[in-house]
Amino acid sequence: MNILLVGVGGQGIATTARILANAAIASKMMVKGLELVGGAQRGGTVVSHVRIGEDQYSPVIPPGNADVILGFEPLETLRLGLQIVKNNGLVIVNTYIVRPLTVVLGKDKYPDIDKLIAPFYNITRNVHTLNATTIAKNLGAPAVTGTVMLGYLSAVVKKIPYEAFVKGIHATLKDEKIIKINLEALDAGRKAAERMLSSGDRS
Amino acid sequence: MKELLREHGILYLSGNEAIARGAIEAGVSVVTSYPGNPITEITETIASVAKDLGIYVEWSSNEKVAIEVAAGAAIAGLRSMTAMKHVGLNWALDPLMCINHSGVNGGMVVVVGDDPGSRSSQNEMDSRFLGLLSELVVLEPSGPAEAKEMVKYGFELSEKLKTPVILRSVQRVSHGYEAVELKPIPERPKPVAFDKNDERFLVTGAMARSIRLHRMLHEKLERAKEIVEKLPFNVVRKNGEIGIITAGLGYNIAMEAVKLLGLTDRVSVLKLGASHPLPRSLIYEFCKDLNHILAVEEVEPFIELQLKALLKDLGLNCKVHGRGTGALPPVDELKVEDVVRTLSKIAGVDPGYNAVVEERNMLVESIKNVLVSRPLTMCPGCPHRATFYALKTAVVRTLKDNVVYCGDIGCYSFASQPPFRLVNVKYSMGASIGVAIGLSKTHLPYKPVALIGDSTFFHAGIPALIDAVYNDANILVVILDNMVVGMTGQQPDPGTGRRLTGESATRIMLEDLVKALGVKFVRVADSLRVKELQKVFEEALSYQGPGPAVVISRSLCTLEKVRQMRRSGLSIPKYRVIVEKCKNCGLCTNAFACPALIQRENYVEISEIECAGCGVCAEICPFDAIVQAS
Repeated sequence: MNILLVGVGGQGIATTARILANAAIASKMMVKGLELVGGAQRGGTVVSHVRIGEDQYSPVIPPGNADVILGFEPLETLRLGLQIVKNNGLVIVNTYIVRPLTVVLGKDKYPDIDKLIAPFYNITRNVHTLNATTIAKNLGAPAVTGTVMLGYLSAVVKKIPYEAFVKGIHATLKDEKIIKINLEALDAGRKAAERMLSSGDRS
Repeated sequence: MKELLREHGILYLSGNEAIARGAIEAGVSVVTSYPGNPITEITETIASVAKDLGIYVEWSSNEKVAIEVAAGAAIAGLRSMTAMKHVGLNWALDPLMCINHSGVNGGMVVVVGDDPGSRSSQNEMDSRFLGLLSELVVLEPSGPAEAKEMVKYGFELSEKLKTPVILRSVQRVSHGYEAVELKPIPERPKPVAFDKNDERFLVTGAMARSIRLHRMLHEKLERAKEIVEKLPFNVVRKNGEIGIITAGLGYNIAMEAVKLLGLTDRVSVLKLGASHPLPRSLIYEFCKDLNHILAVEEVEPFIELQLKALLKDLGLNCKVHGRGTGALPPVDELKVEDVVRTLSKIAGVDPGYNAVVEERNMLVESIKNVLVSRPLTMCPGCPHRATFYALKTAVVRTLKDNVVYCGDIGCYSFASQPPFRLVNVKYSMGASIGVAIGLSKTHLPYKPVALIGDSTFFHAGIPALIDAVYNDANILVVILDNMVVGMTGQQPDPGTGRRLTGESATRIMLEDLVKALGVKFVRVADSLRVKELQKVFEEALSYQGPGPAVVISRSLCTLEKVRQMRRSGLSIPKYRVIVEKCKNCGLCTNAFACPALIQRENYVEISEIECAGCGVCAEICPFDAIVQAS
């Protein structure tokens, strides 16, 4: 299973990728990946590749091979996810916007979110939108946005059991308080997915 | 217990962390480095457990010094490792070309991190050629797990051959991640008595000594050629008639392409653990019944060129294709889809993957207009922004823009971005000053201004400034002192009073250093007090000599400042716009361009999350519309 995590620096992408990888290790699966965090501090894109399973060679997911896109920010999700997502792959887009410098300075307009999501429908129908950052903020910690998304993922794709994500959180994070809030975030994400699955509405 | 001190179990590690762990498991005693993407984290990882394990680790002032320090330790019989990015090896090359002559006692591993695609470097180059030049073994790990084992093997090999061994990583290996198995950590050995009469370490041409040593190096290389035949990292998969020879990351890229095309049965793959020297017999056996070989590697045709010569020597007619023949792209990072395209042509198969890539490329092209760019920029509160604003204002006022700007390596190279556009020429570490000197000797009507950071100055700028004084160059040198090595992650440098492992250090004051070099015009100013700084620049720009003028614009890097404040429980000051007073004149947003400033309909708003409290916007606002929020 190939998962691409993409967004903007500061959203917790690298940590989320690590939790995901540790969840795979806890499930006795092989895993390799890649992190590109150079632009993180200076307002740039951050991307992590996580490749789970046997016979994975390149740490970079080749185009058209990502089973899942975890999009932390809509603009970056389109920028990097469109090329990499598999036909009929799963795209989960966090609808929280982070304005690039040019938009902030009034030189560009941030596109309509619908325009950022529509192109994915050329490739797959499995496009979900999720207000993960809002859910995280309601728990008191916007930093756990990624864990909310993992909780959501665990309910939509059954390949990695929920308990493995719990183990992944314990293997990745050390502070008791931080672990606790991440476990809450994981649960909140799962619940959001269950609500979606029962109502049939992907947003 | 710190994760990295465990002696068993599995950790998800990056290539850099795995290389550090490999050195730890090999009993390394001394580690030296200068920060540089992609290898910075190796040394930081070592530093996190250095005191626990009794390892000496330092940020050296530059890579030349780093390799010399490591050599000193290796002469004393201790295992030493030095780590640098590819352009850093260029600096270390001069001493390396003597250390290869003398050899070492304790194992010495030189880790070099290349940057194919030049994502975070000034150039693109393949440092494996420096292994060819220095006649040393070049090990190439294909991923983090292999990197860890290769470091340990590298130390053993180095002690067997009594030469340094080069371990060459690339971005995707250093920042790749894998589940890595931890092995036991040995005790650090004691240094051996250094035989001061050992002639090896006197590398000099006199009395034909270096000729003798050079001959010995050749003998060692011949031994290495036998050893690389049986490297535990070599892999031979003989299946079909399409031959692939590869090393390092190239192996994983090639295997992924083979998998995507379903060509496993038709392809034979030879993975080399070392890309120099090549294993003669292994290659003969592999190539003898093949007609064509595809060499898959990053970034130049290094293996390809050696292979062509070797095959001719072996009398084989096998043709070699690769990045040198146009079979694979000649520059930039190698992608899986590049190898897929080439292999599918060679094999005459097209299972549709190329079409998928094409289709996706077209789709991405069609939505290009929707994709607003997200450029990298200086952080909100960055003191460099304040310096550029003050400098540009001063230049426009005094010299009406008749200035040529020579930039250097670091966060301040963002000066080239709008709205400042303060870089016309930029090369490598410390080059700003030398180029400025050259421009000043041409009698062009432009005044040359060199922009250089504090760490870059310590690394590479001092000899150039000496030249400017000694050869009387009428230039302005601006040292942007943010009191850290900024771009690579805010590491301490000789001007910060702190060392890598946290101890306090003698703080080398830049202004004392510059004055001691004989500079007659030296000013130090607070970057954030832009009105005063602008006056200092105006004075400096009108200085006519003798020698250069130096302005040190100093203020702590905002990322570091915020980090320190958070650690001490201090709250970060925030600024806000008094909407009624804001005339929407555009000065702060267009001329200063801080990312925390949001342009609304007819006023400016400051993003509370982004604002780092530098206060510069408040100082420059002509209408006093910006104040500190209570």
